[in-house]
Amino acid sequence: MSRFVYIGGRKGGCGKTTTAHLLCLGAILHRQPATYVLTDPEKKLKTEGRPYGVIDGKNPAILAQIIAANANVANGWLIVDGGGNRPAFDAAMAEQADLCLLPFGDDDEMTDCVKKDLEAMPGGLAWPVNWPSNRLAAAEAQRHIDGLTQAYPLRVILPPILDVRSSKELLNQSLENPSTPLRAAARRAFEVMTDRYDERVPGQGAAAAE
Amino acid sequence: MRKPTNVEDLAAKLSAAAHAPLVAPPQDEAAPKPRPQRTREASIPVFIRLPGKLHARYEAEAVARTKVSGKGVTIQQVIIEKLEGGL
Repeated sequence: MSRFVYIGGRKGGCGKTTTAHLLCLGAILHRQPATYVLTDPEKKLKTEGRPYGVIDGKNPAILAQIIAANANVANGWLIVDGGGNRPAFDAAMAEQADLCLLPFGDDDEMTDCVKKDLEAMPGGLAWPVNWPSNRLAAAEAQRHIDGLTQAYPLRVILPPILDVRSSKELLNQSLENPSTPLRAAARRAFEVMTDRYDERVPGQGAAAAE
Repeated sequence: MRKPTNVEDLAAKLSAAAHAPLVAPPQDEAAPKPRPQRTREASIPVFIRLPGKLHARYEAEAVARTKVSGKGVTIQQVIIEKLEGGL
């Protein structure tokens, strides 16, 4: 069975799609197969030039088949990208997934939304993404992380995924030859994710996915 | 990961969740009670000129009643009550 990771969150634009593609690329760079599944009916599927599999799971019936078929896949990662404004769907998917990630950015609205998601999905883990790398901006944004870790101990993934300009490559261009900063960010994000996966599902993480 | 019982059940569950409304529909509540309508007696505006001393007396009374009751009492109210009492 491949590892099933769901990336959800009710707030649109918080970094779900970017994180999903980043993790898929990271898996490939670690020589592990990965499949990206799109579930947001408002988004268009981009399949061209991706080094990982891309599947349209916007239809719930097809998505259910994908999840069921995943039980028969020997290895790799199934990364399912949620969509904004669907808390009930997020909760249903979080029940099915091995690991549920809840990306959030460095503003009050996103932090408030991820708090609601953490309440609604007791197994979910918040992950700061598109985080400022500038020293002063990072210091200012740290209060969001501090507030969440205090309110929800052990449920915030650190370190954050830093904002890299090249992350735009993930969505807009072909990924056949990703830039060096993007490769580094993808590898790092995948390593951080697999560490948390190993904690949640011992013995089933990165090593078992190879 | 929770093992789905079968694909149809999972599909139905995901489909229902995907189309769930963001805000729960309001519960059926009893219709709000209509506010009682105030019936006002028909009134006619009248312009009068009071002697200064009389005005000062009614004004003092209005101020005193305002302080006691905590609600604003106008000179017009005082005059109307005096007129009603005189009838």
